[in-house]
Parts: sequence; C-alpha cells; structure tokens
Amino acid sequence: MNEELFYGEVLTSHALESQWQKQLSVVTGRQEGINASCGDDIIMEWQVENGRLVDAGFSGEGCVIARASSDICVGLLVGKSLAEIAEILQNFMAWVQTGHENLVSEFPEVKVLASSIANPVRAKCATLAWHTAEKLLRGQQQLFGEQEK
Amino acid sequence: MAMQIKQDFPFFREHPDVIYLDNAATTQKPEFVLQAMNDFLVKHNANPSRGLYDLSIQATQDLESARQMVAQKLLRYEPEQVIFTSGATMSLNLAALLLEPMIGKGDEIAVSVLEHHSNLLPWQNLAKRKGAKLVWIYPDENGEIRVEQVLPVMSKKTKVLALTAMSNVLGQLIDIESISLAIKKEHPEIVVVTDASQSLAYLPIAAVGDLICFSGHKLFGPTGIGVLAGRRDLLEKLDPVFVGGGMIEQVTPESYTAAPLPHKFEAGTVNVVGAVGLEAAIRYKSQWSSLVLYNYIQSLTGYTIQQLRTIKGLHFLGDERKSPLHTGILSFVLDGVHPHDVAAVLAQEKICVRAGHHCAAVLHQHLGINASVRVSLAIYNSAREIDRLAEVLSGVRKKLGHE
Repeated sequence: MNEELFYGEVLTSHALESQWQKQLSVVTGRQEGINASCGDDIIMEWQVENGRLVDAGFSGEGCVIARASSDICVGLLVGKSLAEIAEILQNFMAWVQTGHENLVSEFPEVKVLASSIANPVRAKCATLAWHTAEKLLRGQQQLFGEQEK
Repeated sequence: MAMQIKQDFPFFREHPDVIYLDNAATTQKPEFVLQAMNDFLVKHNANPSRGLYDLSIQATQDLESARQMVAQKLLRYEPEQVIFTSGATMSLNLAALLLEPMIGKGDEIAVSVLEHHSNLLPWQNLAKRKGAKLVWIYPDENGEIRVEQVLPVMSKKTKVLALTAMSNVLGQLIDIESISLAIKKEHPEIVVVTDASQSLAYLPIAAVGDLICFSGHKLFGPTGIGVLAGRRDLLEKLDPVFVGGGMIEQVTPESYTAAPLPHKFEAGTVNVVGAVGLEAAIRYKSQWSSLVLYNYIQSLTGYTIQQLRTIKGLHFLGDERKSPLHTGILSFVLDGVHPHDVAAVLAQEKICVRAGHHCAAVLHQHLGINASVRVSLAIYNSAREIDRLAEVLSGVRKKLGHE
C-alpha cells in the first residue's frame, strides 16, 4: 500500500482490498443502495440460514468511503443473527445521529468512519451500506417471519 | 488579468490559497457588489412600491434601476419584461405554472438530455398534471445541440421547447436564437423557454426564446435573486399564479384585477437588496468588453484541456476539441477513481471542484456513467491555478492506491 494514502490507510484498505466485495451464489436477499447525487450505487446480498447471516457481499460503484463503509458493515454483520443485526444497525444509526461513542463500543471498527459521518456531504457515502442493510433486514425479517408462520 | 481581478473579491483576501473552480455552482462576489448591497440596507432600506415617504420611493427607484440594468445590459428587453424571482429554479417552475393553461392532454413538451433538473422536473410535473408527453432532444457526439437535433423532434403537438443555452456539465453553448427562428418557421406557436443560468456567465445575451430564466449568484451577484423575462405579448397574455401584495390593480371582496407587467408576476415583497446586488454585478462586469471576458475564458478553457489531457486515465465528457462553442466548463472522469474521491483529494489541497451528477442525472445516464468531476472557470481563475489542478490531479490515482 502507498504510504501517503489519502483517506488513511485503514479506510482505504477496506475499500481497495475488500474481502466482502463479491457476489454470492446463494442469495436470500438482495438490495440496491443509491446515492443519486454522488453516483454511489451498491448492491448488497445476504444469505440467511436459520435466522443467521451466514454470508454476505457487496458490489457496484462507489467512492472510497462508500466502499470502505460497505466492507466494514458486511464484515461486522456476517455470522450474526437477524436479532443481533437489528441491534447493531440500530446502535450504528443512533451513533450517526448523536455521536455517542458508547453506542458502538462493542464494534469499534466503525469508528474509522467518524470523520466522514461528521461531514454533511460525505455522511451519505458513509451510511449508504447501513441504510441498505436496514432495508435488507426488514425484507429478511418479513420473508423468514412469514415462513415461520 | 486574473491576479488583478482577484483583488476585487474579498473572498480571496480571506482565502488566499483557495483555488475556486466551482463557478458553475456559484461565483464569488466582488467588493463592489457587497458594498452596493450594504449601502442599500444602510441608506435606503424600505419596502419598494408601497410607502409614500422618501425612503420607500428611493427603494422603488433602486429596484427599478436594477430591472432596467438587467433588461438593457443582459437581455435587450424593456424593463417591464423582466420579473424578479428568487432564482433560476423558481423562474423555471414559474414558467411551467404560467404556461400550464396552454397545455392539453396529448400535447408534447420538448426537453433535452442536457437539462439541469431545474429545467426538467417542472416540465415532468406539468406533463403529469395535464396528461402531456415529454419528448427528448439528444446532442450529437460532440455534445452539441443545433437546429438539426431539435427540428425533427418538433411537431404540431409540441407546445413548449425547454432548452438550456449552455450545458452545466459539458460546457457547450447552444444557439437558442437560431434554433428558435428555425422551429418557429414551421411551428410559430411553440413557446421556447431558455435556461440561461450558465450561458450568461460567459456570454452577453440578446433577447432569445420566448421566456428566459437565470440566477444572479452565478454572475457575481448574490443568491436569492433571479429573473424570468420574456416576450411582452406572451407575458401579457399569461395569468399570474402567485397572488398577494403588490401585484394588483384593484381588489374587491370577490376578485382582483392584476397590475400591469412586470408587477403582476411579483406577488409579495421583491428581494430588493438582491436586485441591487445583481445590478452591481452587471455593472462590475461591464467594465470589460464582453469580448475580452469571453476570450479570456476561452483561452483558459483551452489551456485547461491541454493540461488535463496529459493526465493518465482522465477522460473528458463530451467534446475534447477546443471548439468555439465549448467554454468555461469541463467535466471528466478518472479511471478507477470515483469522482467523489477525486474531489476529496483536490479539496485537501484547497482546490474546489464539483463531483457528482451536477443536477443533470439524465445526461449522466445518457453518457452511461454515474458521476463526474466538474471544473468551471471564472475571470478570476488563472493558468497558474490550472497548473496546480493538473499537478494534484496527476497524483490522485497513486494517492488512492491505484498505481
């Protein structure tokens, strides 16, 4: 990696060497997330089994912040149950709104997004994946909730 | 030229190291404009056209002087043909509302893919409300729109042609006057609505089209003031949609009669201080001949193309030739780097450019891209600033781990 990486090494490496930038072969939920004015357009895919996110990935176009945020988001959610994911997303969004760091103390890897979130223009890039995940979660809860009934 | 002009702008005294290349979004304001606005507020402030005391009369004179300046210097119209609004977006929305009674089910409204959202969405809405159809004009491969691109789209059903006089993304000037003349030979009833928001920053303009809209803040004036101007017979025929104070001749418990032009379209207190600022901006610019200004921007545009062309992976949108129709605005993409990241790297070096779709999403879809980076020039920009832009741009891909 280049030493002079502009956004900071952690953020840039999340975007450039993302392990979660991939398409899944088994998909239970797929959601597009668009920031029309920036030109960010990502697709997030989830594979949920027995109420747990067993695999996930994202693809599409986005700036470094949008892609890094997607990578962090997916990496954090994979392996968690839908109930845990709901809690993480809720805490993340509350952190975005209030800036209270204790909300994300259990997943400190998101703090690298703090300066982007504080920028009114870049906040959209930093939260795109998380809004997309929220929509996916609602869809999956509906899908699997209905199956259980 | 640029160094000397920069001294007229207090913004650059405050920010000597900022390279401001987002002039198509808004321009900085010369001291002359700020002083005129300050003087108005300190010395003459009152509600125009209402009070009988000296100050109100003075405020009225200031407003009408601004109207006259816009009419004569920018449009070659009579002052009554100039309506003040809050900006081009409001002017274009107002134009669509005023023309609504002329649109029926199955009629067509022609727009180009170059349009800024402010000259597209009002027509989309109008078409939906009236069951009319939007029909599209596409530029040629150089991003240019001429009579050949427009005429075939016009038909007996076409009621409005809404066209920009200059793309805010591609920087191509469009000769609305020739287009208007050509289509009116066959379809005299079509109302041509011109968005002159960008073109007026670079070109002096004669009265073109039937209605013309622009903002003051892209012309060194303040935000919050804009103009809708037009053909007198058309404006006289149209009914006001916004009603209230200042726009009436007589009011009874049941109804009202509207004041004559231009006041019938100016309900409520006009932004006088904004109009005063706009007048000062026009005066400020008129110290140079428009040819001198045009030539300066033309050379700087050519220089920018030349400097940026050498950057690895950089591709201009539209035309790369130094065409006389291409001036002031340049948009590009950089292979492998999202436009937002390009702008963020430039921002770190205090270089202000725009990244995104620049309120022209349809054009970007037409070009098959999500977003681009835009550099837009003004007379205070210099070749040295462009050198710095090129220097930083040439390191962007490396900085983001691409090379």
